[in-house]
Amino acid sequence: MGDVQPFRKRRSSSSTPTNPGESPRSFPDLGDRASALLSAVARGDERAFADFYDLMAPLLFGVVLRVVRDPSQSEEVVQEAFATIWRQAPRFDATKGSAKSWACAIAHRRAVDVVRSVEASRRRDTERHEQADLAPASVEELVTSRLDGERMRQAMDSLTDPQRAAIELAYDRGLTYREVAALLDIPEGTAKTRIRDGLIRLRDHLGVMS
Amino acid sequence: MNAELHHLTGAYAVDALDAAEREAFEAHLDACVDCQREVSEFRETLALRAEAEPVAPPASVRDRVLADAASSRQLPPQLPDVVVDLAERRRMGDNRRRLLTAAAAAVVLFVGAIGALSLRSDGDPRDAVLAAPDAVFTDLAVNADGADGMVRVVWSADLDEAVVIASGLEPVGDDQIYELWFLLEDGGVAPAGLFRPEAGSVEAVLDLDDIDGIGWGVSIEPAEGSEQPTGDVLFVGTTA
Repeated sequence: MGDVQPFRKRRSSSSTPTNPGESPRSFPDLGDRASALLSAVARGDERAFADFYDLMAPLLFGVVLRVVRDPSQSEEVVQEAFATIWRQAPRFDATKGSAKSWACAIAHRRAVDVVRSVEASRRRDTERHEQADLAPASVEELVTSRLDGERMRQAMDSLTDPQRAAIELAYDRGLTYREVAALLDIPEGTAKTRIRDGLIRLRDHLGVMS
Repeated sequence: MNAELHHLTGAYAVDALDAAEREAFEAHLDACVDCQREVSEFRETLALRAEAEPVAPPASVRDRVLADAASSRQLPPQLPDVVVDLAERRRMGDNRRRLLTAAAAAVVLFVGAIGALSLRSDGDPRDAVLAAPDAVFTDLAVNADGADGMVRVVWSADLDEAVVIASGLEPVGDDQIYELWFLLEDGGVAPAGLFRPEAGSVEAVLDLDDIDGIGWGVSIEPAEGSEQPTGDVLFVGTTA
């Protein structure tokens, strides 16, 4: 995980424009701001797209890096994800979810497709499964500390160990639920259920409503 | 609701389905409001996690992303829900599309002939539309199982008129009529006018409201017309 460090350090000096009066805590607004920007992006507004990038890139890069692990490959995946976001923005349907979660889902899907692609699995399979065997890498290592991290940790702590393991292997490692089942030596139906039950618990703990 | 599929919401939201299962689940998802809600909530949950654990990419990624955007086109907006996914249909109905393309080519010749005629005979309101400098020609594609025929719309925004040229349409009785719809940018539709084919064919001039649509749809409606489609949208086409 040492290879990720330089990116973490870079955060403070990144080109993301930050309002000095605004603490990085202004999170409840991130979703609203992402939605507003994406409507402008949907009309072909490239400046809004730049702002959308600045707002969302750290989220997407975090998501992708946890799955893909290799920083330069992760950069490519993020680039592809934003290309998809740009192209598909006019078709974004706000009734089906927020702009923020839409963008994260695009990036995660792309990351998973990449690690599952034939050459990637050839190159990475052994390593990936060996590491997963030991323990899912703690995401905290990658994360710059922030107050919301604490709330999320509490939410993750609310999961049972089997639920947490199933979600981390699936979401952070890009494994299918069948692979999760094989790795944990549990029935496939159980793997499915643990992922869903874990998400339900996280959702309820964080008070997510549709 | 299929309980087996419903339990896949979590695995789907974390992308833990293989390609075939993903496709099957997405087909189910289209029709299952409960699953849509759950998937959406799970995605919000996962996005909160992403938000709590950000990692800034190097600045070079930003440059590449913005350069990509500057040099690539966006997709046209989504068609309304009443319109099924055209790309999907194209995949499924390539043969039919080839036939339609041939039919559309025939219409080009036909319209060309009308255009030539208009040089000599004026007074026909069709000619004004067909000859308008801003005329936009749109061939509509079949959009519902069993729909047959060929529809072309020629539209002049300056004149606020459109000519519907169609052939091979299913005949309708006196209690029904064909209705043309504007497809709107916001995903809605608005009435554009009524036309009644004779023996399946028609060339009708419609007076339009001053609406900037992104395309056209056609359905069969009760004889007085409708404010929103009540029948299947049989044909669609985008002007973009």
